[in-house]
Amino acid sequence: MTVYFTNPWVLLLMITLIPLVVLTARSLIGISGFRKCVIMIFRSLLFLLLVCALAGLKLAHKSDELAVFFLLDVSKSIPRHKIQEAIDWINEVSKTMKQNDSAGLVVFGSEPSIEKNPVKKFSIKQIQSQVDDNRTDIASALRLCLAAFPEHTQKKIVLITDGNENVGNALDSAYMAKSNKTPILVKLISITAKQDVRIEKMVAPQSSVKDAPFDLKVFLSTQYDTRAKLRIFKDDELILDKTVPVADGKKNLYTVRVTLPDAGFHRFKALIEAPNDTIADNNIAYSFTYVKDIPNVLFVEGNPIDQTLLPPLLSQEKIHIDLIEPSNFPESLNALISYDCIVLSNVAMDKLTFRQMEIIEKAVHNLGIGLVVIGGDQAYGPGGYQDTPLESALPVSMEVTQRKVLPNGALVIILHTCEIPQGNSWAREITLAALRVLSRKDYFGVLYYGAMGGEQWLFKPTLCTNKAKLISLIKNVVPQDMPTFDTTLRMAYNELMKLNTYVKHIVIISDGDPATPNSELIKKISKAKITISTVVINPHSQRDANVMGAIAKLGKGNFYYPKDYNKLPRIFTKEAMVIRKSAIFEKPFLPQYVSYSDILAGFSSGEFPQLLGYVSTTPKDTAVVPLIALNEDPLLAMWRYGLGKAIAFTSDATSRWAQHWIQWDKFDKFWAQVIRWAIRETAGGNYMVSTSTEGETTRIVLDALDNNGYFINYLQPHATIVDPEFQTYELELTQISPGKYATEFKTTTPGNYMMSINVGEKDKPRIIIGGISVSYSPEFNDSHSNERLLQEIARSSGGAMITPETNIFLHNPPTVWQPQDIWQYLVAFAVILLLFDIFVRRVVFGWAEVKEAYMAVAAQFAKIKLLIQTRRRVPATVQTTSTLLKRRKELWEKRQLKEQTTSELLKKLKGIEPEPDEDIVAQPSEPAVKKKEKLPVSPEVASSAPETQDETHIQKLLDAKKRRKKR
Amino acid sequence: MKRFAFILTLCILIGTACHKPNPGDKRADIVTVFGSAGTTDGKFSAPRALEVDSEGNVYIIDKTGRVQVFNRDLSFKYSFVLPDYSKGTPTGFCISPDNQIFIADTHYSRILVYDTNGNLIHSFGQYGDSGGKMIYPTDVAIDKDGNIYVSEYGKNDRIIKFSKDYVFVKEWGGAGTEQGKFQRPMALAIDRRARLLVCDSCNHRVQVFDLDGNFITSFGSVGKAPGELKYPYDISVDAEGNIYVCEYGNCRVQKFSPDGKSLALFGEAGRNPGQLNAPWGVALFGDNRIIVADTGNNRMEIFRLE
Repeated sequence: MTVYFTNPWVLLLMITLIPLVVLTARSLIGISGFRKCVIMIFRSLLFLLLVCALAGLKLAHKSDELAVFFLLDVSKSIPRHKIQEAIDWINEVSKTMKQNDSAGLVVFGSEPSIEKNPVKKFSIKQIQSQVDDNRTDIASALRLCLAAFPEHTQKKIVLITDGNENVGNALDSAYMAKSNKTPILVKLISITAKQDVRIEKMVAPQSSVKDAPFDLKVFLSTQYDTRAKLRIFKDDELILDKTVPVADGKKNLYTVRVTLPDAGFHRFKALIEAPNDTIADNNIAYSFTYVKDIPNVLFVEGNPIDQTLLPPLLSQEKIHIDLIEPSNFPESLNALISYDCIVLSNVAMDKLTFRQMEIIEKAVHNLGIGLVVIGGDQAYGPGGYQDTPLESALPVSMEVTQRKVLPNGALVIILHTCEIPQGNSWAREITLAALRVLSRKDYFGVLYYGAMGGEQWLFKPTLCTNKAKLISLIKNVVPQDMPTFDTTLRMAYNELMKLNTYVKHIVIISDGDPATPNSELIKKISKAKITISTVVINPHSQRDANVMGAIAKLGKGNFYYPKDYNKLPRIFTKEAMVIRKSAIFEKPFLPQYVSYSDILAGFSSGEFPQLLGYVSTTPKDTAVVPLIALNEDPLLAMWRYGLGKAIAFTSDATSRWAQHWIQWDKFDKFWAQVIRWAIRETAGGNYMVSTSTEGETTRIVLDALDNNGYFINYLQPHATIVDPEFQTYELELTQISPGKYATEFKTTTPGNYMMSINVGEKDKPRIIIGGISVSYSPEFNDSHSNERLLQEIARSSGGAMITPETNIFLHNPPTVWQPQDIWQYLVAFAVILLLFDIFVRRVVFGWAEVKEAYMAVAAQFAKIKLLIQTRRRVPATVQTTSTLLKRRKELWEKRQLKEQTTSELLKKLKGIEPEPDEDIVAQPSEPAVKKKEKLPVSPEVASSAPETQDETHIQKLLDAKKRRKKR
Repeated sequence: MKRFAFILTLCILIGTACHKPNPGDKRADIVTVFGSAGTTDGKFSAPRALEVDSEGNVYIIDKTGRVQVFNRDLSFKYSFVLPDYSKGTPTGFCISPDNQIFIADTHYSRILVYDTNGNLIHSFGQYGDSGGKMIYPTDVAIDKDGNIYVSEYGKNDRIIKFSKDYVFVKEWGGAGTEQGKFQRPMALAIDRRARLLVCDSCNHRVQVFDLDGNFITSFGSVGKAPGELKYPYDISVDAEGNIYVCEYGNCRVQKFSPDGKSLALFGEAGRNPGQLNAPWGVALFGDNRIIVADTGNNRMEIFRLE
């Protein structure tokens, strides 16, 4: 044990002790020498204790606790069975832990995660932590360990890995460990892959010309000589299927000559298969090439029956059209990159996922792809575009703000979801999905059965002006089992009847178990033009589903019975869209041409035919509105959104509203101009983009030449990258040489990165598009363990490579001291001393008083001791004076009787009257008290107790007896 | 010093007097709270039905499909699992005088009969509308002659009577609010006067019939005041004929005299001891206690009757 101070400089205060003593002595006037001495001693001690407490006096004990962190590499380069072997080894080794030892586990790949903090009883069954396993970063794992060790313990790290780090520098962390007195023991995971054939990379030009051949290059490498099957796909079409020789240690390059007759973005995929190949993850590679030609448009038709005639008409206008249904809309951004424009014709939001809408928004904003939305009864507000990424991209808002009298609606949802798995979570999700569709002019209410209060409103029908507040309420709803539908339907009816809205709608979600509502109630609700839709989930029987169906039928609403709960949000979105039907105006009108726009070049005011309907919207601030409908509502609006352009046409292009337009001879010209205006603006001139990937860094290089072949300098190219996880990066390319610009960014995740480079101005972009493919994790680049690195890590940290003889829990790390605070004890003693100090100063006493006090205390102790001893010797029966006297009397009487008998006998014998014995009469015979030792009695005790007098009397009797005997 | 002690004492007294007792701290009414959320022995997941046999053993069914049995000292005895509960679990059962367990297997349209060792003895009933068929049986009661009474909802909302040999005898009721009709009858009990008491839950009342189905009386109406009910889900009768009704909607148990006069209230909405959260069941426990299935709180609560 040792002693130290955390703030030793405070000890300088000791210097003031002497003046303190002097001052104390002078201040204690009138106090005797003895007391003065005591006071000065107390005060000096008190001062010393306080100074030591302030200086942070601590006791340090040598710590015999050892904490070990196991650091396990779970990256992709480690075979899964090796990881399990490592876990088994850890559990086995942990059995040798001593009582004061603790062990923890950290798993790592490209990032570390603490699986288990150091605990005394350690075992691991299964790894729970999820870490990205596409990279190996030993350095960050070591740093995490060093930070996570418990304080004041001996420390040790056991690193279990193959050593193939591809991120960070583990040696730096090893040196850090040494400075922290933490040795690293290393257990090597050997992963020698004896047989591996892989594709190093595939190279294709970023862009090409239609029908111009170019070379597609595939680089292969192998650990052994073999023949492998190489297949190459162009846009999923097989263009090469060939068996090629691959040799270890040689350059294995294969070139394929490719010609692309079609414009657009083309994807290439290469696959290699070889016998006895042990790693499959590195057998695939991707690449891209873009071919510029006529505009390529993706046309999404939302009208199932009365489809627009536009696609064939546009094809005649030299616009390539890919016509699809909403259900076939791509799920990824890279599938859209080959299109210059996306057209949505009367597509409702419930036909697209939220993710697909996000893709559309990113395609327009980040990749410059154009967007044209054609209206109908399923588009814009009625289509549920409110508060979606699609609305963000459009030049119109779904809020109808320019009216004085606004059509609005009221929606009430009744929740009974507690009987399905994650039912309450679904309740929140579907309610939020409905709320998202409603406008600020709509009313929204939610009913449920609460745990404590029965049927209750989460919130009564409320204007959706503060959606954030409603969302916070929705997130806390916990619906319970509902006994009957009757009460909640009645409550909904009563509240809706108070509102004056265009549309009133109720949606019930339940398993159908609650008691069936009164049919008269439903009829009353229906008569009030309140519709009821029902959604049944997980019914106990078909009967329950039938009940729900019957309610919807009587309520003139829709009935849903989804088996897949993932469809629930879309159902509620669609039901909420019923409210938005108020935005549709089905009246004949003539479009008014109010402001010139290039989009309407060649058209004059008054020549636009009549339309029979449109959807009311509100133009955004920077939108241009050349055509308007009734009440100055926008009919045609457009604006720039990021790198792209978006157009909203609020009427339709079918016979429902546009029957006169279809017959108009400028119908196809109008739409061709609209779409051409929206089409992505690509860069002219000669721009070449090349990319190269090294480790986790990708470099983009842009070569800019004008049409005459001269370098284009002083550009400010701006690149937008969308990674495989949909994250967007904005990068500036800097000029590195004449006509050459470059930038770098991290490509840590394998997959396809979409890229668009704007070489023009922000408001007049000229876009070059491309892609980067990171085929597989660099984890598969190394087929051998890096034992050399691991040995260096062990040496640098003061550790060692683990052998079968290694004792992991040997207490050999550098000594660690465990400090113990004692300032609180010092302060406590100081307080006690202060009390004594006050006592001594206030109470006047000298040696005599001290001695007297001492004697008094001693006497008390003696009395107590006597009492204890007395009680030990005297029988249980307390010998009080009265008892003694009584006993004495008995004995005396007995003696008297005895003597009387003796004397009578004598008298009989002698005829002599016995003489009374004076002594006996005057002094009865001695009490029959057992002889006992004379106990030392203090004078005070002897004088104070009433029994003392009796004892004197008894003594007299005893004396008298003695005298008589002597006679 | 004396003044200081006086002031201190005064402050303590005032502070004690000002302390408002937590409404849940009605510890004078509580004997114990036992169980907590879980799926292991002695733990519960939304317990909905319970009974106490003549020896004081407590039987509890929860949403995990287990029937757990506890000794009278509430120590765990044993458990068994119902044959199927994926569609849902029973909401009521009873224990016959000869210690057989009759379970209303609600979502399987049948009655399961077990012995007290957890062995399935018999099963009767099937989905249907008439002739002894049922849709959602909610509870079972047995009279002294062994006749079996089953309450049912789901379309028919009625009482079905079977003989002790499981043969259909008669049925009465039907969906409605009128006298003799039901809306979700949830529980049954038979008192010593051979009256059948029915928790007519969605009509917020208790209806009383003779054992042939003839209406005698009813009591209760929707509300929270003494004498009013909200979704009565279970019912028990003590030796004196007092009636204990478990109110799912009011989160309490209400005691009535044999003629339906409200005598006492136990519990209120909440999660503290003495409070209840959507309780589903009540049973007599010993001479002076009742045990309540505090479903929403995943536990049992025992109240002392005073």
